[in-house]
Amino acid sequence: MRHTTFAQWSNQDSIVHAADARVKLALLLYFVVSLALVRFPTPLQLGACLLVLIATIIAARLPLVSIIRISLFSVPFVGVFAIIVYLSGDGRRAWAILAKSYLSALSVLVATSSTPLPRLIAAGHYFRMPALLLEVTQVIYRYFFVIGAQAHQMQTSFQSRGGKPGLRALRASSGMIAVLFGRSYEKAVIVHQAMLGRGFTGRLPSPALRPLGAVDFTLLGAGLLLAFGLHSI
Amino acid sequence: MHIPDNFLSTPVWATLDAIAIPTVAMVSRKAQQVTDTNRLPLLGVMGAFVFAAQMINFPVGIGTSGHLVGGTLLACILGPWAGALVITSILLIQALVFQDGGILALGANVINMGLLGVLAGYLPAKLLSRGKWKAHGLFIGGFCSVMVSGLLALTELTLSNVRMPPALLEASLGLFAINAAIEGAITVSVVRAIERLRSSGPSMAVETSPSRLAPRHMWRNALTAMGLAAVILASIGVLVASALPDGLEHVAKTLGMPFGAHPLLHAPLRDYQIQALGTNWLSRASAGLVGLVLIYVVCALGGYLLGRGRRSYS
Repeated sequence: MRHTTFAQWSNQDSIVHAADARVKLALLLYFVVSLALVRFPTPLQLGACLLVLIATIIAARLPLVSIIRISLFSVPFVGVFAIIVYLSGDGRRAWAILAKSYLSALSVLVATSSTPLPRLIAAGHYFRMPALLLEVTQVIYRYFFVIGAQAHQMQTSFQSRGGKPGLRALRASSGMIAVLFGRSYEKAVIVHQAMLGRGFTGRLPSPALRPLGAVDFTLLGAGLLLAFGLHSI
Repeated sequence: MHIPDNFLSTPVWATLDAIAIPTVAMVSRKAQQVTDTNRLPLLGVMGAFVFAAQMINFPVGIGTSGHLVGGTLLACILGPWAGALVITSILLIQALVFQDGGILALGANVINMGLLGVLAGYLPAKLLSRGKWKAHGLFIGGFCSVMVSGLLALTELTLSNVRMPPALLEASLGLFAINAAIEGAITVSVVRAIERLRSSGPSMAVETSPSRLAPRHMWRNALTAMGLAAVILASIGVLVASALPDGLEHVAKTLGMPFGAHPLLHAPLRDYQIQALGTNWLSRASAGLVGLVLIYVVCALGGYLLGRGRRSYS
């Protein structure tokens, strides 16, 4: 399943993975913001951005084809909005936005698949994001795949028993969600008990971040210079 | 409805981010105060449940299918603060892991679906939480929740100078209305099914109706209704106003206002350049950096001011 590949990717060993999560998060934000600020990027700029991202993927030793394939999943979402802009009579803007949005999505994908989630969460704590938000996010991420698998299985059994669209299917689907709710609720109780048993005091532990060193600042500076350079071509 | 990056113009996404971040911090504190610290597993697993339930397709008629969004359902189960927080978390995961919705547009998406969407769904459900009107309340809640999110998304796009032709605007409003009705129907049937399950199965401590939080006083009822009306009217009003900028400009001109309404919001870093800096590219790149720092400072300040004097989460 997808999350296992994701976890594998983000736990690999490479220069990009070793870089500090805070630096990567800051660079990602800067990259996305500067992309958003160039209204009509030239093909050269777009190509250069793509090259930089591909170089990062290769440096991170991530499977290039799989990453590109997954990043293409974002195109239908973006496409709907691009069609709206296109129909609004702004064809040039629609293409520019489509390209920029794809590059943004790809850069987010590269950043998250080269950083383990706990470290991203720790970086979030460092940037003073609300603690409860980060903790809830962690628990949701952990159990989404567990409960999602159950939802998938329910839908498969519905179809294999000859489920067809219609009013009765509406009822069956809401029954599915209700059963899913019941199971999730039980799961929440069990998870809570297990967490209490392991010494849960109301907070989730988050990995300690090492202090930012010269290497991190050099990386940050190099990244900023690179983005400046992309603006200038 | 998850707006990707680059579709909103810089003033729009930056303003919405600067509003959303301190508000989420406040919602997070409220959720912390209202709910028990020990409910973290419940919040997380319920969030995972709604996230997974979004994958279940509701085949409604020929060719169309809808799915649960879940804002109203979560607000009824967990209360409005925790519900909004959990939806925000889901949006965060969708943006970071599934590339559904942009990260600069996250503020917009959080306001549309997480904050105002949940509020618009919770208020009717809370108002009509008693007696035979309960199902109506849930339906209206689900409907309003999706409709308000859709209206806000359209408004933000229009503010970003996407001039939608009226036909397209009407078509998307119609689409939102259909989705909103589906959400209402799903919310009602899921809550009914949960109650059936609860009456026959093992006892569950979770309350699916917001009646325990229902206001007891008449004036509080009225206040809630007014709040709801304000949210809905505001989103419709801004949409209409921004969809007809020429009319607005005309009014501004006739009234002799010094400003035209054409660029509805002025960027503080106009044309994304700092004029003092010489070369074009350098100024553009540094404008981005300054903007980023500015947003962070505004958010940190807002968070600090909102959080001052309150019990911090520990």
